[in-house]
Amino acid sequence: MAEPDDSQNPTDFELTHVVVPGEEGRDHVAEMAETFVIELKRMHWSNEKILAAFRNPFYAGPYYAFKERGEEYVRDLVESVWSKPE
Amino acid sequence: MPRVYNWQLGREMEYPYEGKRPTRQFAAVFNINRCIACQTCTMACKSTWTYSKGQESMWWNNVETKPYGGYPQSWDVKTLELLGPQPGWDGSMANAEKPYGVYRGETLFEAAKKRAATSGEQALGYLPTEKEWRSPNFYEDTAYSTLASKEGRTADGTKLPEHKAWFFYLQRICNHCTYPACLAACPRGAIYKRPEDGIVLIDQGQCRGYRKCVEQCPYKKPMFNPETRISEKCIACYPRVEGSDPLTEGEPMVTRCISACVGKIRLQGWIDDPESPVHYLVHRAKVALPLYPQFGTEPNIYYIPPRWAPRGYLKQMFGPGVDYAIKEYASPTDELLGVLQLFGATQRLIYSYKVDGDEVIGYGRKKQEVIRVPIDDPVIVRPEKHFNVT
Repeated sequence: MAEPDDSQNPTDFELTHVVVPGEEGRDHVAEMAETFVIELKRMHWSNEKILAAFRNPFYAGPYYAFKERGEEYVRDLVESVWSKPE
Repeated sequence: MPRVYNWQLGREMEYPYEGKRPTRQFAAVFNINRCIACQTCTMACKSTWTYSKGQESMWWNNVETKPYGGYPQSWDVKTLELLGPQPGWDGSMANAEKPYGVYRGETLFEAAKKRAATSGEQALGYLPTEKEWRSPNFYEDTAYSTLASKEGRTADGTKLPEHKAWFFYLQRICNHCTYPACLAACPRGAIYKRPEDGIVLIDQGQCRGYRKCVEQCPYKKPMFNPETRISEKCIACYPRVEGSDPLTEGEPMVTRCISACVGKIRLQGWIDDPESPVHYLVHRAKVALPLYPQFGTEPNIYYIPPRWAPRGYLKQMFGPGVDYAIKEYASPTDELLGVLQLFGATQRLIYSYKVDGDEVIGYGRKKQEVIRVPIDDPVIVRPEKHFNVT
């Protein structure tokens, strides 16, 4: 992990250029989005409410998947995933 | 040096004191899949225990973004580097007593004895700098420095670059380890583990502020108070666990961080009581795993690992049980679904539970019912006339 760059401001505490690759052959964004859907369904949210969470920029993780993959992708995911054993 | 049995390693290991397990051991399970890093737990702890002068940089509970952040900064990376590459677990020897197999590498205690015989350390460790404690969470959710690059940010700095790969939030309190490195490190004998509940405390009258506990706890949860010149740490809200909070009239309660959790990601219980839902999650369902078990302290905060993060990274962090835990969590049994409904369901400490049809029932210390939750909880939408309007 990179050390903070203190050259311009001694109280600055920012990370610099951290690169963490994902695993080859895995789609981490899709897995993250699917997990969010499952967790929200386990909390008994409706499909519409889950989709609204993905549309909301306040929820950084779901919104990132929404931006990356688009509404159709998320809608299909929400409709296809269920909370009971898969 | 005495030898003690560490079930997470599946073998005996060296520890400076004889192994004396408490009557029952404080433990909790945190479900990483549900955490949104709202920091309500952090603020509940802060406003209860660490609001005084000298405690400004002290966060007994913190939530950090992995793999990008840490409090103190890079605590786990630095400790892993000290320990060096290790062979890991031999899974072929796994059985009921050794659920992950047998750890073939060195613990921090064993490595300290071998490599640092002249240092006087009981466990390999380092003392974080003051700067590393100062700014938890700063820029953990953004991909790189605004100073280092203009890429991905707006001119006025209102939009920052985002991570493009993956991350998750790690909730951290003291692990109240079975074999605490802080306790082993203290030259004053000021740290003790309570026999009645396994909670690890620093005797404030005995401590002289040598900071050996800060140095040798691999999780960096003892913290130095520059005002009082002695060290402090998470006390597992022991007055609540003892039942001395007037709210429940003598009934044990869960800690502040656990009761305050908005996302209901936390469940407290007893790791060694087969009736406890925490025991079920760790020992029977095996969906909850210890944090860096290779350190050898037998930590007692367990995590349901995030499903989307790279498995190699998760195995380094939670040991060899990751694949099984994620598989079981993704396809939960009815019992697991029921126990998951107990997370955050009540402030009272749940000692045992029963899944009864479509409901799960939690029982308290005297076997009395303290909570009843439907497994398929109906969603009730607040009527329009009761909406909050600002």
